[in-house]
Amino acid sequence: MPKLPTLFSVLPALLLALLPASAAPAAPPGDAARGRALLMQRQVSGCILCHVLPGLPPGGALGPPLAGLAARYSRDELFQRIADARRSNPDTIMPPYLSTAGLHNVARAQQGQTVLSEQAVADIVAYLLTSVADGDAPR
Amino acid sequence: MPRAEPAGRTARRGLAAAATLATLLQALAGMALAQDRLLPLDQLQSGLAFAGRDVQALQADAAANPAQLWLAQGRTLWDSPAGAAQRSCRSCHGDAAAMKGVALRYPRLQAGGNKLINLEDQVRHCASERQQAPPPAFESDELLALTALVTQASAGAPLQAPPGAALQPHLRAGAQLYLQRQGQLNLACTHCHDQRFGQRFFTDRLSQGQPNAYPVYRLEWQRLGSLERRLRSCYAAVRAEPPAYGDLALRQLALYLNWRGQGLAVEMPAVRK
Repeated sequence: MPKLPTLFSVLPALLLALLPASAAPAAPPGDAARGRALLMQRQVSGCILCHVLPGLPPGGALGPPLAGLAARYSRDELFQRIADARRSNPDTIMPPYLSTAGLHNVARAQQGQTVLSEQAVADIVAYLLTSVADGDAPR
Repeated sequence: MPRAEPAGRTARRGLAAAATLATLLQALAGMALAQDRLLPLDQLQSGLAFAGRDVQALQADAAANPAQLWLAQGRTLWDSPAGAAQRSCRSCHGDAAAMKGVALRYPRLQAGGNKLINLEDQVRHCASERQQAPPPAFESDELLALTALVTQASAGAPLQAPPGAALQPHLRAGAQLYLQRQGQLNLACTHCHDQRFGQRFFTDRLSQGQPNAYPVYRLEWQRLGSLERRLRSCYAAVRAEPPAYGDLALRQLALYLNWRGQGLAVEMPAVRK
Protein backbone atom coordinates (compact mmCIF):
# COMPACT_ATOMS: atom_id res chain seq x y z
CA MET A 1 0.00 0.00 0.00
CA PRO A 2 1.46 3.42 -0.91
CA LYS A 3 2.81 5.31 2.07
CA LEU A 4 3.15 8.59 0.24
CA PRO A 5 -0.34 10.02 0.83
CA THR A 6 -0.05 9.24 4.51
CA LEU A 7 3.22 11.15 4.63
CA PHE A 8 1.67 14.04 2.72
CA SER A 9 -1.27 14.12 5.04
CA VAL A 10 0.91 14.56 8.11
CA LEU A 11 3.34 16.99 6.50
CA PRO A 12 1.18 20.09 7.10
CA ALA A 13 0.81 19.06 10.71
CA LEU A 14 4.56 18.53 11.03
CA LEU A 15 5.22 21.95 9.56
CA LEU A 16 2.63 23.43 11.90
CA ALA A 17 4.33 21.81 14.85
CA LEU A 18 7.57 23.52 13.89
CA LEU A 19 5.98 26.97 13.95
CA PRO A 20 6.91 29.09 16.95
CA ALA A 21 4.25 29.05 19.65
CA SER A 22 3.89 32.81 19.28
CA ALA A 23 2.22 32.27 15.89
CA ALA A 24 -0.76 30.66 17.64
CA PRO A 25 -3.68 32.94 18.52
CA ALA A 26 -3.99 33.82 22.19
CA ALA A 27 -7.12 32.84 24.09
CA PRO A 28 -9.69 35.62 24.41
CA PRO A 29 -11.77 35.72 27.63
CA GLY A 30 -14.49 33.07 27.61
CA ASP A 31 -17.96 32.52 29.04
CA ALA A 32 -18.29 29.17 30.88
CA ALA A 33 -22.08 28.96 30.49
CA ARG A 34 -21.84 29.33 26.74
CA GLY A 35 -18.97 26.83 26.76
CA ARG A 36 -21.11 24.29 28.60
CA ALA A 37 -23.81 24.55 25.94
CA LEU A 38 -21.23 24.17 23.18
CA LEU A 39 -19.66 21.10 24.77
CA MET A 40 -23.04 19.35 24.79
CA GLN A 41 -23.71 20.25 21.17
CA ARG A 42 -23.51 17.10 19.06
CA GLN A 43 -23.72 18.75 15.66
CA VAL A 44 -21.63 21.92 15.96
CA SER A 45 -18.72 21.05 18.24
CA GLY A 46 -19.27 17.32 18.73
CA CYS A 47 -17.12 17.36 21.91
CA ILE A 48 -19.47 15.05 23.81
CA LEU A 49 -19.35 12.46 21.02
CA CYS A 50 -15.77 11.59 21.99
CA HIS A 51 -15.26 12.88 25.54
CA VAL A 52 -16.71 12.36 28.98
CA LEU A 53 -17.19 15.92 30.23
CA PRO A 54 -17.32 17.01 33.87
CA GLY A 55 -20.79 17.88 35.06
CA LEU A 56 -22.47 16.83 31.81
CA PRO A 57 -24.39 13.71 30.67
CA PRO A 58 -22.14 10.76 29.73
CA GLY A 59 -20.26 11.21 26.45
CA GLY A 60 -18.04 9.07 24.28
CA ALA A 61 -14.69 7.52 25.09
CA LEU A 62 -12.61 8.03 21.94
CA GLY A 63 -10.76 10.87 23.59
CA PRO A 64 -9.69 11.25 27.24
CA PRO A 65 -12.18 12.33 29.94
CA LEU A 66 -11.95 16.10 30.33
CA ALA A 67 -12.17 16.46 34.10
CA GLY A 68 -9.52 18.15 36.18
CA LEU A 69 -7.88 19.98 33.31
CA ALA A 70 -7.20 23.11 35.36
CA ALA A 71 -4.55 21.18 37.30
CA ARG A 72 -2.71 20.26 34.10
CA TYR A 73 -3.16 23.10 31.63
CA SER A 74 -3.04 26.86 31.56
CA ARG A 75 -5.82 28.69 29.76
CA ASP A 76 -3.60 29.33 26.73
CA GLU A 77 -2.36 25.73 26.61
CA LEU A 78 -5.88 24.36 26.64
CA PHE A 79 -6.94 26.88 24.01
CA GLN A 80 -4.08 25.76 21.76
CA ARG A 81 -4.93 22.09 22.31
CA ILE A 82 -8.44 22.64 21.01
CA ALA A 83 -7.39 25.13 18.34
CA ASP A 84 -5.12 22.58 16.65
CA ALA A 85 -4.21 19.41 18.52
CA ARG A 86 -1.86 18.46 15.67
CA ARG A 87 0.68 20.83 17.16
CA SER A 88 1.28 18.48 20.06
CA ASN A 89 0.46 15.20 18.24
CA PRO A 90 0.49 14.96 14.44
CA ASP A 91 -1.36 11.61 14.60
CA THR A 92 -4.21 12.93 16.73
CA ILE A 93 -7.83 12.16 15.85
CA MET A 94 -8.92 15.40 17.52
CA PRO A 95 -10.23 17.70 14.76
CA PRO A 96 -8.46 21.04 14.37
CA TYR A 97 -11.11 23.44 15.67
CA LEU A 98 -9.43 26.68 14.66
CA SER A 99 -7.35 25.68 11.65
CA THR A 100 -8.04 24.83 8.05
CA ALA A 101 -4.38 24.11 7.28
CA GLY A 102 -3.70 20.87 5.42
CA LEU A 103 -7.35 19.79 5.20
CA HIS A 104 -8.42 17.62 2.26
CA ASN A 105 -11.80 17.38 0.47
CA VAL A 106 -13.69 19.62 2.88
CA ALA A 107 -17.46 19.71 2.21
CA ARG A 108 -18.49 22.68 0.08
CA ALA A 109 -20.59 24.12 2.89
CA GLN A 110 -17.59 24.24 5.23
CA GLN A 111 -14.80 25.16 2.85
CA GLY A 112 -12.39 27.76 4.23
CA GLN A 113 -14.19 27.73 7.59
CA THR A 114 -12.91 26.53 10.92
CA VAL A 115 -15.11 24.19 12.99
CA LEU A 116 -15.58 26.80 15.72
CA SER A 117 -14.84 30.49 16.26
CA GLU A 118 -12.06 31.69 18.58
CA GLN A 119 -14.73 32.95 20.95
CA ALA A 120 -16.46 29.55 21.02
CA VAL A 121 -13.19 27.79 21.84
CA ALA A 122 -12.48 30.36 24.55
CA ASP A 123 -15.95 29.68 26.01
CA ILE A 124 -15.28 25.93 26.03
CA VAL A 125 -11.93 26.51 27.74
CA ALA A 126 -13.61 28.68 30.36
CA TYR A 127 -16.03 25.85 31.23
CA LEU A 128 -13.36 23.14 31.27
CA LEU A 129 -11.17 25.17 33.62
CA THR A 130 -13.95 25.53 36.19
CA SER A 131 -13.51 21.83 36.93
CA VAL A 132 -10.41 21.37 39.08
CA ALA A 133 -10.47 17.68 39.98
CA ASP A 134 -11.70 14.42 38.47
CA GLY A 135 -15.40 13.94 39.06
CA ASP A 136 -15.75 17.50 40.30
CA ALA A 137 -18.90 19.00 38.83
CA PRO A 138 -18.32 22.62 37.88
CA ARG A 139 -20.56 25.17 39.53
CA MET B 1 45.10 -4.48 -2.68
CA PRO B 2 41.69 -5.35 -4.27
CA ARG B 3 41.84 -7.06 -7.63
CA ALA B 4 40.17 -5.25 -10.55
CA GLU B 5 37.33 -7.31 -12.10
CA PRO B 6 36.96 -7.69 -15.86
CA ALA B 7 34.43 -5.12 -17.15
CA GLY B 8 32.17 -7.82 -18.69
CA ARG B 9 31.69 -9.66 -15.44
CA THR B 10 30.84 -6.45 -13.60
CA ALA B 11 28.21 -5.57 -16.21
CA ARG B 12 26.67 -9.07 -16.02
CA ARG B 13 26.52 -8.83 -12.27
CA GLY B 14 24.87 -5.44 -12.56
CA LEU B 15 22.25 -6.82 -14.90
CA ALA B 16 21.58 -9.81 -12.68
CA ALA B 17 21.25 -7.54 -9.66
CA ALA B 18 18.85 -5.25 -11.56
CA ALA B 19 16.73 -8.25 -12.60
CA THR B 20 16.63 -9.53 -9.04
CA LEU B 21 15.66 -6.10 -7.80
CA ALA B 22 12.89 -5.82 -10.41
CA THR B 23 11.50 -9.21 -9.41
CA LEU B 24 11.69 -8.26 -5.77
CA LEU B 25 9.89 -4.95 -6.37
CA GLN B 26 7.18 -6.75 -8.33
CA ALA B 27 6.69 -9.22 -5.53
CA LEU B 28 6.61 -6.42 -2.99
CA ALA B 29 3.99 -4.52 -4.97
CA GLY B 30 1.82 -7.63 -4.99
CA MET B 31 2.29 -8.15 -1.29
CA ALA B 32 1.88 -4.51 -0.38
CA LEU B 33 -1.77 -4.88 0.58
CA ALA B 34 -1.28 -8.16 2.43
CA GLN B 35 1.53 -6.69 4.50
CA ASP B 36 -0.56 -3.69 5.36
CA ARG B 37 -3.62 -5.53 6.63
CA LEU B 38 -4.48 -3.10 9.39
CA LEU B 39 -7.25 -5.32 10.67
CA PRO B 40 -6.09 -8.95 10.97
CA LEU B 41 -8.49 -11.46 9.44
CA ASP B 42 -8.87 -13.32 12.74
CA GLN B 43 -10.25 -10.15 14.34
CA LEU B 44 -13.02 -9.48 11.83
CA GLN B 45 -16.42 -8.80 13.34
CA SER B 46 -19.70 -7.95 11.69
CA GLY B 47 -21.31 -4.67 12.68
CA LEU B 48 -23.97 -6.80 14.35
CA ALA B 49 -21.48 -7.61 17.12
CA PHE B 50 -21.26 -3.90 18.00
CA ALA B 51 -25.00 -3.21 17.74
CA GLY B 52 -27.31 -2.97 20.73
CA ARG B 53 -29.33 -5.97 21.86
CA ASP B 54 -32.52 -4.40 20.49
CA VAL B 55 -31.00 -4.17 17.01
CA GLN B 56 -29.66 -7.73 17.22
CA ALA B 57 -33.07 -8.98 18.28
CA LEU B 58 -34.81 -7.11 15.46
CA GLN B 59 -32.49 -8.62 12.88
CA ALA B 60 -32.91 -12.13 14.28
CA ASP B 61 -36.72 -11.96 14.32
CA ALA B 62 -37.80 -12.99 10.81
CA ALA B 63 -41.33 -11.73 11.41
CA ALA B 64 -40.29 -8.31 12.71
CA ASN B 65 -37.17 -7.64 10.65
CA PRO B 66 -38.20 -4.56 8.63
CA ALA B 67 -35.82 -5.39 5.75
CA GLN B 68 -38.21 -8.25 4.93
CA LEU B 69 -40.56 -5.69 3.36
CA TRP B 70 -37.98 -4.94 0.67
CA LEU B 71 -37.24 -8.62 0.11
CA ALA B 72 -40.97 -9.20 -0.42
CA GLN B 73 -41.06 -6.34 -2.91
CA GLY B 74 -37.98 -7.80 -4.57
CA ARG B 75 -39.67 -11.17 -5.02
CA THR B 76 -42.64 -9.48 -6.66
CA LEU B 77 -40.43 -7.43 -8.96
CA TRP B 78 -38.36 -10.49 -9.82
CA ASP B 79 -41.41 -12.17 -11.31
CA SER B 80 -42.96 -9.09 -12.95
CA PRO B 81 -42.49 -8.55 -16.69
CA ALA B 82 -41.45 -4.94 -17.30
CA GLY B 83 -40.38 -2.52 -20.00
CA ALA B 84 -40.89 -2.64 -23.74
CA ALA B 85 -39.42 -6.15 -23.77
CA GLN B 86 -41.95 -7.33 -21.18
CA ARG B 87 -39.32 -9.47 -19.55
CA SER B 88 -38.93 -10.22 -15.86
CA CYS B 89 -35.72 -11.02 -14.02
CA ARG B 90 -36.98 -14.58 -13.87
CA SER B 91 -37.25 -14.73 -17.67
CA CYS B 92 -33.44 -14.73 -17.90
CA HIS B 93 -32.26 -15.85 -14.46
CA GLY B 94 -34.87 -18.30 -13.25
CA ASP B 95 -35.31 -18.50 -9.53
CA ALA B 96 -33.70 -15.73 -7.43
CA ALA B 97 -32.05 -18.42 -5.32
CA ALA B 98 -30.01 -19.30 -8.41
CA MET B 99 -28.17 -16.00 -7.93
CA LYS B 100 -26.13 -17.55 -5.11
CA GLY B 101 -22.62 -16.11 -5.09
CA VAL B 102 -23.44 -13.36 -7.60
CA ALA B 103 -23.52 -10.48 -5.11
CA LEU B 104 -20.06 -11.52 -3.85
CA ARG B 105 -18.51 -10.71 -7.22
CA TYR B 106 -19.22 -6.97 -7.03
CA PRO B 107 -17.75 -4.40 -7.51
CA ARG B 108 -16.26 -5.88 -10.66
CA LEU B 109 -15.03 -4.64 -14.01
CA GLN B 110 -17.76 -4.38 -16.63
CA ALA B 111 -17.35 -7.03 -19.33
CA GLY B 112 -15.45 -5.55 -22.23
CA GLY B 113 -14.88 -2.27 -20.44
CA ASN B 114 -12.84 -0.62 -17.76
CA LYS B 115 -15.75 0.63 -15.69
CA LEU B 116 -15.92 -0.58 -12.10
CA ILE B 117 -19.55 -1.52 -11.55
CA ASN B 118 -21.51 -2.67 -8.52
CA LEU B 119 -24.64 -4.77 -8.15
CA GLU B 120 -26.85 -1.69 -8.39
CA ASP B 121 -25.31 -0.84 -11.78
CA GLN B 122 -25.89 -4.37 -12.99
CA VAL B 123 -29.58 -4.33 -12.03
CA ARG B 124 -29.97 -0.93 -13.72
CA HIS B 125 -28.15 -2.27 -16.76
CA CYS B 126 -30.51 -5.26 -16.93
CA ALA B 127 -33.52 -2.92 -16.69
CA SER B 128 -32.44 -0.67 -19.53
CA GLU B 129 -30.82 -3.28 -21.80
CA ARG B 130 -32.83 -6.46 -21.21
CA GLN B 131 -36.21 -5.10 -20.18
CA GLN B 132 -35.94 -1.84 -22.14
CA ALA B 133 -37.34 -0.10 -19.09
CA PRO B 134 -36.16 3.10 -17.36
CA PRO B 135 -33.45 2.00 -14.88
CA PRO B 136 -34.54 2.33 -11.25
CA ALA B 137 -32.90 5.32 -9.51
CA PHE B 138 -30.13 4.85 -6.94
CA GLU B 139 -31.68 4.33 -3.48
CA SER B 140 -35.16 3.76 -4.94
CA ASP B 141 -37.21 1.05 -3.24
CA GLU B 142 -37.20 -0.94 -6.48
CA LEU B 143 -33.42 -0.99 -6.81
CA LEU B 144 -32.86 -1.73 -3.11
CA ALA B 145 -35.48 -4.49 -3.22
CA LEU B 146 -33.80 -6.24 -6.14
CA THR B 147 -30.23 -5.85 -4.86
CA ALA B 148 -31.38 -7.13 -1.47
CA LEU B 149 -33.03 -10.14 -3.08
CA VAL B 150 -29.97 -11.00 -5.15
CA THR B 151 -27.75 -10.55 -2.09
CA GLN B 152 -30.02 -12.78 -0.03
CA ALA B 153 -29.14 -15.65 -2.35
CA SER B 154 -25.59 -15.35 -0.94
CA ALA B 155 -26.62 -14.99 2.70
CA GLY B 156 -24.16 -16.80 4.94
CA ALA B 157 -21.49 -16.97 2.25
CA PRO B 158 -18.14 -15.31 3.05
CA LEU B 159 -17.12 -11.96 1.55
CA GLN B 160 -14.47 -12.47 -1.08
CA ALA B 161 -11.29 -10.61 -1.88
CA PRO B 162 -11.48 -9.02 -5.33
CA PRO B 163 -9.96 -11.52 -7.76
CA GLY B 164 -7.58 -10.82 -10.62
CA ALA B 165 -4.78 -8.42 -11.42
CA ALA B 166 -7.06 -6.00 -13.29
CA LEU B 167 -8.80 -5.02 -10.05
CA GLN B 168 -5.60 -4.41 -8.12
CA PRO B 169 -5.15 -0.73 -9.09
CA HIS B 170 -8.74 -0.06 -7.96
CA LEU B 171 -8.14 -1.99 -4.76
CA ARG B 172 -5.04 0.08 -4.03
CA ALA B 173 -6.94 3.28 -4.80
CA GLY B 174 -9.63 2.15 -2.36
CA ALA B 175 -7.01 1.51 0.30
CA GLN B 176 -5.60 4.97 -0.26
CA LEU B 177 -9.05 6.54 0.12
CA TYR B 178 -9.60 4.54 3.29
CA LEU B 179 -6.40 5.93 4.78
CA GLN B 180 -6.80 9.50 3.57
CA ARG B 181 -7.66 12.07 6.21
CA GLN B 182 -10.40 14.29 4.90
CA GLY B 183 -13.10 16.78 5.67
CA GLN B 184 -13.22 19.65 8.11
CA LEU B 185 -12.83 17.13 10.96
CA ASN B 186 -9.67 15.72 9.34
CA LEU B 187 -10.37 12.02 9.89
CA ALA B 188 -9.78 8.90 7.79
CA CYS B 189 -11.90 5.72 7.87
CA THR B 190 -9.02 3.88 9.52
CA HIS B 191 -9.04 6.14 12.58
CA CYS B 192 -12.43 4.91 13.73
CA HIS B 193 -12.78 1.50 12.11
CA ASP B 194 -9.31 -0.05 12.42
CA GLN B 195 -7.94 1.70 15.46
CA ARG B 196 -10.98 2.28 17.65
CA PHE B 197 -13.74 -0.22 16.91
CA GLY B 198 -15.54 -1.29 20.04
CA GLN B 199 -14.86 2.05 21.71
CA ARG B 200 -17.72 4.31 22.70
CA PHE B 201 -18.72 7.02 20.26
CA PHE B 202 -21.28 9.04 22.24
CA THR B 203 -23.62 6.25 23.37
CA ASP B 204 -22.77 3.62 20.72
CA ARG B 205 -19.84 1.36 20.06
CA LEU B 206 -17.85 1.99 16.88
CA SER B 207 -18.04 -0.88 14.43
CA GLN B 208 -15.32 -2.07 12.07
CA GLY B 209 -17.15 -0.55 9.13
CA GLN B 210 -17.75 -3.92 7.49
CA PRO B 211 -19.75 -4.17 4.24
CA ASN B 212 -21.33 -7.61 4.79
CA ALA B 213 -24.93 -6.53 5.48
CA TYR B 214 -25.84 -4.20 2.60
CA PRO B 215 -28.32 -3.06 1.55
CA VAL B 216 -29.24 -2.70 5.20
CA TYR B 217 -32.24 -1.41 7.14
CA ARG B 218 -31.01 1.42 9.34
CA LEU B 219 -33.24 2.69 12.12
CA GLU B 220 -31.77 6.14 11.48
CA TRP B 221 -32.99 6.01 7.86
CA GLN B 222 -36.25 4.19 8.61
CA ARG B 223 -35.66 2.29 5.39
CA LEU B 224 -33.24 0.14 3.45
CA GLY B 225 -30.09 1.83 2.13
CA SER B 226 -27.09 0.87 0.05
CA LEU B 227 -23.43 0.71 1.04
CA GLU B 228 -22.89 3.84 -1.05
CA ARG B 229 -25.45 5.67 1.03
CA ARG B 230 -23.67 4.58 4.20
CA LEU B 231 -20.28 5.66 2.86
CA ARG B 232 -21.72 9.03 1.87
CA SER B 233 -23.01 9.38 5.46
CA CYS B 234 -19.48 8.83 6.73
CA TYR B 235 -18.16 11.51 4.37
CA ALA B 236 -20.80 13.88 5.71
CA ALA B 237 -19.96 12.95 9.31
CA VAL B 238 -16.36 14.12 8.91
CA ARG B 239 -17.66 17.10 6.90
CA ALA B 240 -16.06 15.95 3.67
CA GLU B 241 -17.64 16.43 0.24
CA PRO B 242 -19.39 13.11 -0.48
CA PRO B 243 -18.84 11.57 -3.93
CA ALA B 244 -22.03 11.26 -6.01
CA TYR B 245 -23.79 7.90 -6.22
CA GLY B 246 -21.94 5.81 -8.76
CA ASP B 247 -18.68 7.71 -8.30
CA LEU B 248 -15.55 5.63 -8.87
CA ALA B 249 -14.25 6.51 -5.39
CA LEU B 250 -17.21 4.79 -3.70
CA ARG B 251 -16.74 1.69 -5.86
CA GLN B 252 -13.03 1.55 -5.03
CA LEU B 253 -13.76 1.93 -1.34
CA ALA B 254 -16.34 -0.88 -1.55
CA LEU B 255 -13.74 -3.07 -3.25
CA TYR B 256 -11.25 -2.38 -0.48
CA LEU B 257 -13.88 -3.06 2.20
CA ASN B 258 -14.59 -6.48 0.64
CA TRP B 259 -10.88 -7.28 0.65
CA ARG B 260 -10.56 -6.03 4.19
CA GLY B 261 -13.57 -8.01 5.40
CA GLN B 262 -13.02 -11.17 3.37
CA GLY B 263 -14.40 -14.17 5.16
CA LEU B 264 -17.21 -12.37 6.98
CA ALA B 265 -20.60 -13.94 6.32
CA VAL B 266 -23.13 -12.00 4.28
CA GLU B 267 -26.16 -10.98 6.37
CA MET B 268 -29.48 -10.49 4.63
CA PRO B 269 -31.94 -9.23 5.76
CA ALA B 270 -29.93 -7.07 8.18
CA VAL B 271 -30.66 -4.23 10.59
CA ARG B 272 -28.40 -1.54 12.04
CA LYS B 273 -28.92 1.56 14.12
